[in-house]
Amino acid sequence: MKRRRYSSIARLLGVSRRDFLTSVGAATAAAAGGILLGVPSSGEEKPSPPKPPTEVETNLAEFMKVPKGPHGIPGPFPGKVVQVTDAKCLRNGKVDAKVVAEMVEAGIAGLTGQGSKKSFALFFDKSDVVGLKVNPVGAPLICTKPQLVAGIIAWLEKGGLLRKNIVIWDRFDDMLAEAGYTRERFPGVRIEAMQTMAGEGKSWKNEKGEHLSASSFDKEAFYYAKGILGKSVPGYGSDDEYENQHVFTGEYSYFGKLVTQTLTKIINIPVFKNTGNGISMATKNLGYGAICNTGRLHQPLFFRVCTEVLAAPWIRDKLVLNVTDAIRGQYDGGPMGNEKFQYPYQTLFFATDPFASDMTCHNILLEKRKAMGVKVNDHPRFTDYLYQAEKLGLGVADPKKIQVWRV
Amino acid sequence: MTTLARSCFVLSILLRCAGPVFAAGDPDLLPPDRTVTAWSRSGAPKVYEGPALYDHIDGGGEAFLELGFEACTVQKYTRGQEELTLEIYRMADSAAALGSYVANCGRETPSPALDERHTAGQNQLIMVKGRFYVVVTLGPTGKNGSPALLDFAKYTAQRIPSGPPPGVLALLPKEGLMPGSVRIARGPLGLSAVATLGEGDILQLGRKVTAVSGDYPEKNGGSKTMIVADYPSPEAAAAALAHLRENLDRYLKALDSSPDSLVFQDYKGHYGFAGVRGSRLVVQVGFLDKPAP
Repeated sequence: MKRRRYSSIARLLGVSRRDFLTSVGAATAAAAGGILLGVPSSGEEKPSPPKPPTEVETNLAEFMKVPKGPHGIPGPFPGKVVQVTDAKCLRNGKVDAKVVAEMVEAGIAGLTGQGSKKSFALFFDKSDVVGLKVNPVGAPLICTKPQLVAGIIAWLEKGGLLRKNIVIWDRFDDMLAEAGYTRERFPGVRIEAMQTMAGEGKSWKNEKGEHLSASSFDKEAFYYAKGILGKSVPGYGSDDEYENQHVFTGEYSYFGKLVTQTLTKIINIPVFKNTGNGISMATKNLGYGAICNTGRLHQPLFFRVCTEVLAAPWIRDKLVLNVTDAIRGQYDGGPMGNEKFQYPYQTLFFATDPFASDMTCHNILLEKRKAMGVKVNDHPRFTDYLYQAEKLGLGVADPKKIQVWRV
Repeated sequence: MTTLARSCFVLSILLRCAGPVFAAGDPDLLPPDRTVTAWSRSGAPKVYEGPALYDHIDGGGEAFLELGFEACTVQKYTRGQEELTLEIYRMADSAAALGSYVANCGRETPSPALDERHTAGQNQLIMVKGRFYVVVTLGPTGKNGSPALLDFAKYTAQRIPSGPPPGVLALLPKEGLMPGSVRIARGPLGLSAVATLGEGDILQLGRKVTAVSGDYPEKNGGSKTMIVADYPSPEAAAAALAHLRENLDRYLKALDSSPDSLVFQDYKGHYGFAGVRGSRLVVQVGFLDKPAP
């Protein structure tokens, strides 16, 4: 299979960046229309909203104009979620790597209906550069387990992929190390962060005063949100403070070059946990993990980003598999680790469709919250973004259409 | 302790009590090397002030900042292969500290060995005292964590001055208040944990007005929620109600409206009420029967 490398959407569409930006407003309004209004697809328990929320103009419509690639989400198994549970994977607080590796094999076989090698060929060829997007936020209490990542790497190697073609990645270098993603633990595998932050004895600026990580981001590939700036973040102090974590200010959140230029496929490996009343799993792991300048997006566009960034071709057409790590779950207090709300769930979820996976996990987590007596706000706004994705053809969100296979 | 050291210690306590003038974190609340059963400091303490908190907790800093956050001091400790992290959050006031605590403590499981309000697990202890919110976390290789967690919490607690509980708690009726249900909010993020009433800062809390909420039994065995926000003036409370009325969530339907009250119905068919009482706005959600306006 020929490797496909993406350039900017403006280039793909054959227009200049200026023309592209000028067209964003009209295109968004015209092409997205009701889609962006967050109207649920199955309206049984959701009354028609009396008035739409204030809309923020983004470049979603431009993403959607780019024809979907052969591996575009929801992939070959829309609406299918495979849930593998094995109590032996976590005993006395210790993860059993061998059992987890067996769960990986079982989950992928359950998803594809094929053996290990045929499953591999369904998603990859041996020349692919495969990014494993982990979630290290909340370590050591909650993060993607290195044992799970090791199991996925073993499966990839069995399919013929070389370790040098595997990249474990996240946004931040220090978080990766803290979660156990080190060269010593994963010899031969590339471990790459898109960003560094100021720490002991290091600055985030080079001698020219530019962010050290600025060159890690692709100025031609971005998520645009008109009028949404870092200045609106609660407690905003100065550009310098904001840029330390977010690299750029302004209306553009650039995609990492790792995503746009290096990786040809992505396996998304989020953690089973909440963020407020919603979840921080498959769609948030990539929605906020593939771009910079995310601080500005949290309040005005929080969950919408989880759909719209995944609609970008650099993610949409490379994301082939989602494996949600629910070996230990966290039903409240997220996205940070909070032992009080953690429990052994000894489960992994497999899906090519990240939205079906997230809706399934959202509902399971909601029931867990109710069972544990946690204050639950199950307002439809916390899943509207999943229904929006269904309307865009990116996945399946209606629980009645989702098939959950238990292994 | 020398006279100079004692003077510095007393001065630091006085400065902390006086307000947000202590700009270099709270290093004197950190146990020195080997003060707590053979644990040694690993590196220098890190201090995150104001919005720099995002550098420490990506995706979770907003909640602290909205309530009122000043500085977080983080120190790692090691003992052999074991690791432990002590995080000390200095909040703007005791209501902000308590708000952080109740949002994160869950069903409390305190140890009798520690007097301050806290909850302790095997690998993590969360505590609140005055305007400090403290988290002690044992690393993945830690063994039998509880004693170490308690020792660190005790050391820090002894150095935090005591104070009265936040006055905002008195805004809620005590009768029927369900244990563990109290929450504190100063903006949309905190409010969203208990109810969704509209977009943005729908109650116009502005990170300055404090709202407190709690749950009370409803006749079907469930619960209804009361939110009380205390504004600087009756006019401000009335303006907040007017803002709510004009920007009511799209999934809520206004049924009855008067200048000082609003009755609405939610997407589940449950009823809600909002009304001005002097300088306070009282919002109740989750009624099975329609309340009187």
